[in-house]
Formats: sequence, C-alpha cells, structure tokens
Amino acid sequence: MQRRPWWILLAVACSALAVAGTPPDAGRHLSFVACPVIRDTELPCWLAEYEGELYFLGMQGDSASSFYSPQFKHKALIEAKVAGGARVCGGIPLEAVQVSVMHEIDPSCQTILPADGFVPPPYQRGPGPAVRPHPPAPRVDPEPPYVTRQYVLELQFDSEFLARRNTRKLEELVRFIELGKPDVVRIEATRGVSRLSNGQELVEPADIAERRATRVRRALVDLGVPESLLDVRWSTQPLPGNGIDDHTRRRVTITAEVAASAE
Amino acid sequence: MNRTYLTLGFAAGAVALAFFLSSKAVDGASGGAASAPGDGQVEVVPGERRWWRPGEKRQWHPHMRFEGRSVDIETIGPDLPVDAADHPFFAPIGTNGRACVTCHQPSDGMSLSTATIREMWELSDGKDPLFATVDGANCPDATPGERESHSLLLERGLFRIGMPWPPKLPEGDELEFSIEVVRDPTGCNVSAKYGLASATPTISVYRRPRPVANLRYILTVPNLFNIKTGVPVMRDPETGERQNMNLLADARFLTLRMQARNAAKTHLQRSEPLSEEEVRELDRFQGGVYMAAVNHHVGGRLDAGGATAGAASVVEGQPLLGDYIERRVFPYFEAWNTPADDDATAEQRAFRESVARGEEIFMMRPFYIRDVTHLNTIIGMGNPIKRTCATCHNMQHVGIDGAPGWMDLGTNTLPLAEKTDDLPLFKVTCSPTARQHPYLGRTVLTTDPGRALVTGKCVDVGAVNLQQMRGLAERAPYFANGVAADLMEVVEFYDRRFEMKLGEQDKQDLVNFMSTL
Repeated sequence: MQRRPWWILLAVACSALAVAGTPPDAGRHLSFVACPVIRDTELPCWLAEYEGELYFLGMQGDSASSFYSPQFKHKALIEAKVAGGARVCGGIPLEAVQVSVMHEIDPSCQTILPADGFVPPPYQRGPGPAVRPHPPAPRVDPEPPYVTRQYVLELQFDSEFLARRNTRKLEELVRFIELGKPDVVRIEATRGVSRLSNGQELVEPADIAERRATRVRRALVDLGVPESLLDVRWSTQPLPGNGIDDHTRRRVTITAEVAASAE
Repeated sequence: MNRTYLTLGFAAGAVALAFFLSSKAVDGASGGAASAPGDGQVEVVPGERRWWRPGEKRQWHPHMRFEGRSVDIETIGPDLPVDAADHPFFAPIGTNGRACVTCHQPSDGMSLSTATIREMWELSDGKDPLFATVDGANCPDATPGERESHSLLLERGLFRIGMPWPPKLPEGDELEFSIEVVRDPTGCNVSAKYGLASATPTISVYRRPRPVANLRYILTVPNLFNIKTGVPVMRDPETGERQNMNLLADARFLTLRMQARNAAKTHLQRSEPLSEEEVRELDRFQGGVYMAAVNHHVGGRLDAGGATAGAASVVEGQPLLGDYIERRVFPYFEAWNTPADDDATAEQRAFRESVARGEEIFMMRPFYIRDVTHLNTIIGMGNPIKRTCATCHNMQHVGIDGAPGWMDLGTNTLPLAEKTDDLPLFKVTCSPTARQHPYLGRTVLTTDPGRALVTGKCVDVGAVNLQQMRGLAERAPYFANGVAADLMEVVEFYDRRFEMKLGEQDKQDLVNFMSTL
C-alpha cells in the first residue's frame, strides 16, 4: 500500500477546517437594526447580534478608517455581506459593512463583553497613540483632461453629516472646479429606503434629500464655488431598497459639467 | 470710578512701587533662557509682586520669571520690552479701572487663580476694579463689596458672560431649542433688568478666563473642515482667513482682534471702540507671549536632569498633532525615567520619577471615553472609544484639541455635572424637528449651554472648548466652570467620569505631571 505524503494529509485537513469555519451563508447580504456590542479586547472589537447570532462588524478605528464604529446608547443599522473565514472576536465576520447610527436614544445599548481570551485581528493602531505621524497627504490636483467629472457622496441613513471621506471628495471637487472651469456644477441628492433582512423597510424622512443638497451647497459656497455655478436638485421620492446595496440609495451626486471643447 | 477706587488704587500702586524698587532682580542662569529673545537675561518677579496692577509703571521684558505659589511661571516674548503703563494690554483703557492684565495675570499663567482673587479681595476690601459688578459680581445689580455678591468669582474664579437671547444665527440656520431658567442662585437670569425676560433678553453664564499665551498653537488651523461638524471651519470676517475656533470657550469670537474689541466693551466697560492701533498692539503682544512653568517648588527646575520643559519648549515647538508614540504631546520628561547624574535631592528625584510616570499615563494608558459629544459622535470614532488622555489633549506643547475642541464632557450638563448648586440651571428643550442631544435627549438640564448659545443647535448644548495645559499649577480652579478646585480634583473627576481605575499613586503622578507644564 502506497502511503500518501504528509503534506497532502495536512492540506486535506486544512481544507476541511476551512470549510468548517466558513459560515454556511457566506456571501449573503444582511441588513438589520441592533444594539452594537463591544468585545473588550486590547483594541475593542465591534459586534452586533441578529437572530441569535453574533456578527463581527469591525475594529475600533477613527475618522480615517474604512469602518465607522457605531455608538452606544443608539441602535445601529447594519448593512453588510457575510464574509468567509473563521469567527473574529466571537462573531461571524461581515464585509462591506455600512453602519448608520439611529438617532433615537436607547440606553440599553451599552454591552461590553469580556475579552474571554479572544484575540483581535492585527491592527495598525492600538488604543494608545499611533506610532508615528504620517506625512501629510500631498495636495494632488486633478489630472487633465478636464472633462465632465462626477463625485458621489454616500451618507448614513437619515443623515446629511459629511464625514471625512466625503469632505475629502469635496476638497478635490473644489480643486477640479478651479482647474476644469465647469459650466455648471449639478448637485443631486436622494432619499433612500433600506430593506431589512426581515422584510421590513426603513424609509428616510421626506426632507432628507433637501437637507443633503443644502448641506453640500453651503459647503461648496463656503469653499469659494460661485453660487451661480450650482444647480441644486433633490428628490422627495424615496429610491426603493433591495437589501443589497441600499447604502448607495442615500447619496449626493455632484456632477461638474464641462462643455466639450470645440476642435 | 468712585473716589474709593482711586484711593485704593493709589495705595496699591505705592505698595507695588515699593516692591518694584526693592526687587529688580536679574537671573542670568536660567537653563530655560537658552532660546529666549534679547540678551538671555531673565527678569525675576518675586511672589510679593504677583499682582500686576493696571496702568502700573512697569516694564514687560522679553524673558521673565514670576515666582508662584507652587511653581514659577516663565514668559518669553514678545521680542522687545514693553512699557506697560501705556500699553493697551496693561493700561486701564476702559471706564472701570481694569485692564486686560487684570484677568490675565502673568504670575497666574496669564489667567487668574482664585488664590489671587481672594488676596485682592482682602487687600482691597472687595473694591479693586477686578470686582466690577458688570461681570465680577454674580449680577450687575448685586450689591458691590459684599462677599455673597461676588461668590462665583471668589469661590470658583468665574466671570459672568452675558449672552444675547435668542442667538443671532448664520443665514439659513434655525434655532433648535427653547430655554427656561429652572433655578438661579445668582438671580441674574431672572432679573427684570438683566435676565431672560428683560428688555434685552440675556442668558448669564459663568466662565473662567482662558490663558493669553502660546496662541500660535491655539490659533493654528489644521484642517479645512471641522471634523466634528462636517462643515468648513469659519472665516475671519475681516480677512477671509480660516480660523480654528479654539480661542474662546464657545468660539463666539474667532480672532484676537474680535475678542479684544468685545472684551474692551464688556469687561472693561469702554464706551468707544478700540482704535486700530490699539487692536494691532494687543494682537502683537498677545500673539507673541509664550508661557509655561519653569521651576517646581518641590521638584526643582523643569529643564534640569535631562528634562526640557519651560517656556522655551513652546517657543521652539511647532503646532503639530502630538498623539504619537514618536511625537508625544509633552515630550520633555523621558530622561526622568532614569535617575540623572546631577545634584538633585532625593525628594526631587522622587518627584521627577513621579512626573515621568504621570506623563506615561497621560500618553499611554487607555480607558473607555464615552458619551462625549463631539468626540464620540465624530463619525468613525464610535462610542465608547478606548483611548488615552492624549486623544483629546493632542496639540503638541499645549494639550488643546487641535480640531475645534468643543465637547460636552459632562461638566456642564446633568446628570454628570458636579457641584452645580451655586450656578444657574437651565432647561433646554429641543424642538420636535431638531436633532436631539445625542446622549441626553430632547430635554437637557445644563448650567451652561456652551456652544449652543452661539449655534442654536441641540447637539452643541453643554459643549465648550478645551483649554490649553501650560501654567496649570498657578491658575486653579479648572474646567470652564471652575468646578475642580485643584489638579487632584481634575484627575478624580476624570477617574469617576471614565472609570479609569486609577490608583492613588497614579493620581498623584498625574497631578505632578500636570503641575510641571
């Protein structure tokens, strides 16, 4: 009888483990509203429970992080996709996580679970200071050709707050306007619906699109964009949700239209 | 000004002159003087001459050291000597005998301690211009000269700030809340003449004077957008330049020039506007003064044994974010982790080690910061966030928040606010369509609505700007409402507020560290 090499046995074993560790519904889109929960590891893990299962949302970060941490004393709308891989901090990992803080106060949302031996995934910055300052990002002017360009700001549910990732886009837009000399800058804001995994729908308030459009218009005027250049529109009709990419339904699209040059 | 004021002013001036003539000491041996402008000599002002009287014939030197109660305060700059008697910062340019220096005493870290206030009360029997009833009494209609009329100034070092109601908001903004007086031990907010229901509706709040020094750091503009509000930081209406909004507790004035004009009118009761030359002089002087503790009465020189504190550190530094392991907020005391080979006493060595430990706690020991509006509510940070003191006190060399620093830490809002019995209490009710206060809801009880009295927004109720941390030891009490009588009370407030679980030694280490700044 021919014996199999040891590394083949190891590979088979690893695959079996990997399959066992992969959540059965990997790739499934999830939307739910729940109290956020912290796992008190050295750098805290953010979790949330849905239908009796604990999900890992992300690690504590800051305004520059891709994952925006939720808030105790408030429920959060979680829109994400179940990721593959082993549990993190006790929760099934999610990916493409969008967190929206619900405005209502819920004093029950303040559960801190003990670390219980869980080790957070590797992180760049712990709970203390960062190691060293990054050199400031150089101001990069938009490259020519200066043709019509679009900037999309995605926002939290029922919010017009411009987080850092969006204010950076606005700063870039202003530089483009200076260089590209667009004929018109169209601001179009939407009102969204989030379809939850339990079939319920959350509809944003009727005036949210107007508030978003106004917020962006005021910021651009403050940054020196002539009001006469702006064409501001908003829709009071909510864009239907599909439970998959509903976060893209609540947005401000800014189109800097440059007329085609005569050749 | 009445005759009594003049008489007392003359008497105080005579005493001061006697001290001045007897104490023209010059100390050229200061380690902190290495980068001082001028000839490197330090003008030493003994503790007996602590009070800088408005209009006093005295010279401000480019490098001075003021002997204090627990530390000596060092000032560096501006570059040239200033004849104080005629300078608008030092001269009584209003009608009530006060000058800017009245409330921004160099020996008190360019602010004013209750220890000094009480001394002046005793010395003048409550008649020094410091106690002018316009804001040095609990209400302008209080009986001058009676302790209870000035209790907030004497007990907490608080001056009255009269805020117009409703606030004048930027075009397009709406007032989001109504306000009512729940109780007012001062009587001012229910006064028919000065209160909320008066002909000129006013809300009186009570705040500490902020230090006028190191303003290059306070005024630096790190970002185009205010990370806390998501809108661009405001512009100086005169120049169009962006401002960082950290100058005052509620950022109601953005520049030194705006603040100076208002202070002359309100605090000094000047009837005519400041001249442009006066404004320029004030701008130049205040923008050019650096201040820090330089000598601790127990620990000795703060730039000895390898340490590098003192005002020179602020002069030489840059307004950069210091929340980094490799660029700490106060990078002065690393050498004190190991005993220095100098002639320090055993007591000094023990103090130095304590300071180094305190700095390490300040920078590195994490705890959960929670329910702080405009810190935890910043999108991305989260509530709570496990961080350290340096997260908020992040500006290198001064320890303010480099972003516009207003936050509701809980010192002004119930249920977290402490020792509120002698302060007015307001009930703020947010309109049904407004965003409510994120942690306190639609109805908030507050002793000082803070930034909300400028913006009209519920989210800003109770929020005030952080203060810088230099010269702390000589300018107690602390927090904008003077709630912490000493540095230990500051530490214990934070320990309770954020469940830091500090041990007794930790607390003392933090106190010692903060006393050296």
